[in-house]
Amino acid sequence: MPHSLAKRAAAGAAALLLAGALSGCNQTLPGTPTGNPAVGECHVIDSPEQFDGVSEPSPQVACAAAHTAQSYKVAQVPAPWSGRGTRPGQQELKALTARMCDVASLRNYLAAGQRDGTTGLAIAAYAPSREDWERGARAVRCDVFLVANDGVPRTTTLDLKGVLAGPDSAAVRLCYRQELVDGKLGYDGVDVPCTEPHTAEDISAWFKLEGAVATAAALDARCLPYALQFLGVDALPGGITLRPVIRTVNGARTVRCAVAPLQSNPGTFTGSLAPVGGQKRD
Amino acid sequence: MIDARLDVPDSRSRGAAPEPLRRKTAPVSALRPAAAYVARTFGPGEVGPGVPGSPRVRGVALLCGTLGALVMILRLFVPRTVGMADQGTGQQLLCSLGVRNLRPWAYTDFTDFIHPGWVPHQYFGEGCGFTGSGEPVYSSQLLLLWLGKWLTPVFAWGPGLDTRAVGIVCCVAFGALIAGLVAALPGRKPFRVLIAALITLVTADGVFADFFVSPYSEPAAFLGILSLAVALLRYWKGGRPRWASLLMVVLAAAFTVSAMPQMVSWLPAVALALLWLPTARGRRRAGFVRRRWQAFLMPTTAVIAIAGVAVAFLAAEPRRAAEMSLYNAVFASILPNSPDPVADLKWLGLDPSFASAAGSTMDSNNSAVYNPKYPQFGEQINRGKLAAFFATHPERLIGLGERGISALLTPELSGAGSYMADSGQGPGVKERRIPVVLGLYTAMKAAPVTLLGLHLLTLLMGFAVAARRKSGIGRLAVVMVLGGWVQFWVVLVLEGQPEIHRQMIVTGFISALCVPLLVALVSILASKSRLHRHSRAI
Repeated sequence: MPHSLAKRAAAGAAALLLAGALSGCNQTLPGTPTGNPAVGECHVIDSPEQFDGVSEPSPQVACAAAHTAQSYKVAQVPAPWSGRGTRPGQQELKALTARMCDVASLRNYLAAGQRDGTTGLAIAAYAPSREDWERGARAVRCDVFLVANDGVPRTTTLDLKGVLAGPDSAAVRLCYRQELVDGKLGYDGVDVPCTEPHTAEDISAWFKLEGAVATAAALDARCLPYALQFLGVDALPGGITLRPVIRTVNGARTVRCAVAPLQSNPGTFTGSLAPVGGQKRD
Repeated sequence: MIDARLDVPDSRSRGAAPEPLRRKTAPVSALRPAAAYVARTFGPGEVGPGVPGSPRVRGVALLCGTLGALVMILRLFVPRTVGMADQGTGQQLLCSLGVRNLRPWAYTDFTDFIHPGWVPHQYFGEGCGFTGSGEPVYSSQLLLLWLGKWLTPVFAWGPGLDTRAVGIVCCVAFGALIAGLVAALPGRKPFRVLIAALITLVTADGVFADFFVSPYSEPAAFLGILSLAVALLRYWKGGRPRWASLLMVVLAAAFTVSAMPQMVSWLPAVALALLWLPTARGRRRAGFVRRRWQAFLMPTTAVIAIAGVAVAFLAAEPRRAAEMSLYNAVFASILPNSPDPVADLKWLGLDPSFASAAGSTMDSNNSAVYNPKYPQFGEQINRGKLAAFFATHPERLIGLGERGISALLTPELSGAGSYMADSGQGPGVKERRIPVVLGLYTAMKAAPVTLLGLHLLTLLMGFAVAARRKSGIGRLAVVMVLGGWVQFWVVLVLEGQPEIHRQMIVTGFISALCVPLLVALVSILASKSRLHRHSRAI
């Protein structure tokens, strides 16, 4: 290879490296501060890396606009972790925030009653960024997501605050879709949100299937009080029937009490039977 | 007087023909005609200082480069695309280009197949960067990725980035390097073509080539090593350093060491290569002292420049990544294989309560990060201390080396599929159409010491060729083996073992390159240099 060619090759390689260095300029934006989150804020979190991130600084969006996450709780990191000058590692924070972002707080935010069963919800916790932590921020943000069966967050315009007491509760309520076997519905069914066609609606009353409650009548009798509590009535309305689902997991059979509209031929329906305004409280 | 060659009647009349392997007085072996044919067809001919280059080699180099690129493209894209499935670390590098992978959400689903599509995405804060900290990740692979992003719309693969386009960039770069290699190698054209073909064959093995269609930074390491080999051969060819060839070595070395943190271990080998110039022959002439200074000063400056790049690259390494490497070295490498973990913890300055985390990774349930005394780990453990530990516990290196060789000889990433989800192939299926290296390594597992034998043979023959034939390829073999050894131990000592199979991929590639290097070295040693022939004639 002549010298001139070698020089040209070297110059070309230098230019490529320069282009590479320039290409390395990170296109990530700093985002919003993570030190002072507030309950009720909504965000668009649509990648697994964002979902699993330690902090989440994407810009806030209006909850009436398309979003995937809504903050339901803000809590302060307790001692001794709060005393650290540098932010604890991912694993430590995840273990800690999993305890801080509890399900009870979420149910409270959703205005869930004792008999409200939910599905398709996921929780993620976000700590302050490294910089915000070093500035003294210790607030942890607990977000709730509507997710599909494969765990992918669903985009929604729904405000989840108090949703279970409102008219849009079907989006997060647990329902079952049973298959017809010889003209009868099967004992078990797949979990679906009540906005999808289903055959029974869960009333958050589960118990182990034992010999004493093995008959259909016994199951109905056991589920009836819970159904009345769910419906907020003293007697089962004529248009509603009990339809318990039997789920077998690792050999253990569990009865899940559920209700459904009374139909001459069992079929699917959409929406929720829960009364708007919430259930009667005990 | 020059011995006549009985088996090659016209060897004297053809100046470029190889000399006989060795004159034997024993009965002629049945293999001799075949060996003679191979030597006549593929032998290097005369090599060494003062031998003119093969004429019209540029055309052959271009042809070989084009064929090399085509072979790799066909191998990766026909009849269907193959690549290396992301095991979860791809995003941390590609996200800086503002793209997000189109792949299943769940980890267990997306590692089964390759998902080459990446769509534009705006990241914020720690959403882009090293997993768990969001610190930016740098690699010279970004250069290939940037070119791939630029090419993606050209191939109508969408607006973002498609790793298939990156694969094509890698194949073209590989072809260019093969062309450069053919131009830089010594000897006759068939010899150069043979060595280039063998290197293409090695690289085309799925354990290496599949990385071209992936979000990993290994392709930068593979191509960096090859570019360094080409640049060094050119650098040594002139006998004394020239600015252009020296600049090529600096650029190739900078690209190589900044591919991934473990590649920084190549710095000593690169320094040796730059300072190990062919000795000058002939009488002292005017300007001799100046040239000696030039021969020393220029490569020394280059070494300092490359060291600067390496230091800057290590300084930019995510602290979280460094912490994970140190964690793995202590808890997944030293302690599980220790006869007395508590004593080791004491030597390292750690509390004995950390013994319960032996064998863990940071993600394990028994991880040491949950120990209230974990901040002690950050205060006590660093790379220097790990090196000192092994220096004072050399017996541990034996087991460590055995595990390293075992991992090197198992170069496939388990669970990472090679095919796209719509290919009709099952989840996690590996593609093994050109299992040259895989087959060799699998055979070597029966006697892992053969790997060391391969290295030692290459090293010794490299020294022999460098000393007796003054050929750059001898130096290259020595540099490759020594660089590979340093990298092997750096990975083992400083990076721990949980991902050892992937960490050993580049060392496995360098080991595999020993085969074409050995073929070249044997051919050169079997031929006669002009210097040798002259001395015998006198």
